[in-house]
Amino acid sequence: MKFLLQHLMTWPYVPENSSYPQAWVTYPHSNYDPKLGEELYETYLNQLVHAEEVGFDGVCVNEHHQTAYGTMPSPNIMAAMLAARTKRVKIAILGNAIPLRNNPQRIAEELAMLDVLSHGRIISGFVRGIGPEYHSFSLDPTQSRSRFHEAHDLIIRAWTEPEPFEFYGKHYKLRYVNPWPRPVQEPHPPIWIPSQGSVETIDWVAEHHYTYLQTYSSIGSVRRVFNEFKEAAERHGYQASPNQLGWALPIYLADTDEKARQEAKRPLEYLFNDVFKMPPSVFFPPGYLTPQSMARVLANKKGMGTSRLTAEDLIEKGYVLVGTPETVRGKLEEYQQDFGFGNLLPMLSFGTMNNAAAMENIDRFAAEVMPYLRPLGESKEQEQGVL
Amino acid sequence: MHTVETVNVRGTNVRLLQGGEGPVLIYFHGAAGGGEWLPFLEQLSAHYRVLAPEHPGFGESDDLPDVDSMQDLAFFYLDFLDQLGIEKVGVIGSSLGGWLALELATLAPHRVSRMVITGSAGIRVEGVQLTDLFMLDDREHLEILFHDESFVQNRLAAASIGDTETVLLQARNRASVAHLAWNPYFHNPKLRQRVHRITMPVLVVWGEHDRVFPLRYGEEFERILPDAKLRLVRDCGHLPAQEKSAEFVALTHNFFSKGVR
Repeated sequence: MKFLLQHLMTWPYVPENSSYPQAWVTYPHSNYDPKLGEELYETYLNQLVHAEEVGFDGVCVNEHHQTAYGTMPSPNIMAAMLAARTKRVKIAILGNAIPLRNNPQRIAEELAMLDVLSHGRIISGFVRGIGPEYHSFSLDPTQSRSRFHEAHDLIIRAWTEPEPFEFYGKHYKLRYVNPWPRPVQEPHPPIWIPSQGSVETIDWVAEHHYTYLQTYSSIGSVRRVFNEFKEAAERHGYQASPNQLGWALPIYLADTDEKARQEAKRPLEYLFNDVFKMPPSVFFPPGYLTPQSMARVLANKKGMGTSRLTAEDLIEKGYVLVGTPETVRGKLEEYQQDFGFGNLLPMLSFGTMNNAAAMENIDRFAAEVMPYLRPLGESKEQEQGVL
Repeated sequence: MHTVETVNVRGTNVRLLQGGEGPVLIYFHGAAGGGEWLPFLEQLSAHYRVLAPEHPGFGESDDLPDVDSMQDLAFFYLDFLDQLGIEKVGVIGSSLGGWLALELATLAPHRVSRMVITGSAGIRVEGVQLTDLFMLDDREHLEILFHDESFVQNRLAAASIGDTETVLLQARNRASVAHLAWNPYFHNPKLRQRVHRITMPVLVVWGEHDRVFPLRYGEEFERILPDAKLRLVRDCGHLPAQEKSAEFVALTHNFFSKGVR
């Protein structure tokens, strides 16, 4: 098993029961205090750097816009900071929201720069961006899929084709694609696709032999989606390797299960409610979901963002793992054997959690959970040191 | 009395509601979708041959993947008129359908005899704050359309809430609206430099309390169109053809039959 510390760099100062209808798109940026922001970036970066010191395999950054939920509108800037401050860990960008850029060639360039600067340590995640980002960018949500696919094809070709080429797609029309520099890793950095589990995405990731990453979901969804991924891989003629399955979730550890629940309550509820809050029309703008996925969402309406989830709900449904290291590693071992993932992306600093608590959580996870789970889910290639 | 048929336009099937005899009128529905033979259509069909197609991407009409803009949709409707062998037509466009009527009339003014636009999209008026329809929930969406609360209540009562088929149909309609009107928000910046081509008489009918496109929009259309006259409908919201159908029918009938504005 590989362990990558996931971080959202959440803005932790949204008042409880804020009167704003959402913490996205229209939540006024006057609520962002740049002086506090200076401290916050430094604190969060130090947490990620510390992860390398205590043995994590990687650190993760991601992209969100116009929100207190995450303060990394440009994940590539954070990745550059981490490339300079770390030596060994993989730097996973999960991901660049590729449809939001007007020229995806720019992403091919930036990621190649990062791969060279980090000596080949970049994992390149690609996402569509979530619903509110289509409001934030005034970008037609009905085109998010076709822009995603076209941008993906363009970036992969930009990294792999030896000669300059023309690209005339529906969305992007480029006379010369010829990005300098090229990435260090051959043929290109590993591609990881974070998703909430849409049927179309699962199939597409399996088809391309990429790594599928399930983010913040109930344990029932995680199980279903990982099984669907394995079936999809079989449909495409191969067996999914554990390295192709990743699971991202908040984890909190303490001396007793009860103490862990008490201490995690506020940070979790803040993360899943106060800063994830938005109306359904913002979470799912028209055409963002295919009719197939829409039917699935309608069938399972209660969920993140649009209705309030208590810490107890989150723990009970397995959106998060909270307890003593023994409890947590026991569950992870059980789940790993159940659905066979090879990458775990714990979020150990989240919501309103202060730095001391976050650092202790990171240390505990590294010392009391990671060593027990390491041997699980290693594919043959990983054992041979290929991946 | 009306009939329902499917018209195939260069490979795209469109559902067409049609009734009456006489000079041809075509009604372009708005963002909420078509497919309903509304009372004002029935009343107008006493004097005219009234066509009410469902736009591609809406209701039971096919998708039209190549339509990326309102101008593309106007080109489609030129093919539609050719298909039906209609040379010249009176046009009524409501809201999003008003924008379509304007695009059609800039492309082919010789195909439009007279035109009524009501609560029309299509332009941006600087300094007038519009509510973002794409941020509203279902109920807020209904509430903003009507001035008379009883229309909202009747629509709510009639809506088959929770019926998956209806929800998916509405979702498809909304996706089609988003595709046409997300950015720029419900307008084509080029339209202002093309409206000089709209030389036929235009009647601009506006609800006094339109909260989707406020009255300033109606006034602006009257100002920039070469031959337009604004008629205000009192105690009315965004959809005069529905909320004040008798008054709307009287205005449009007088206009199409006698040229009275």
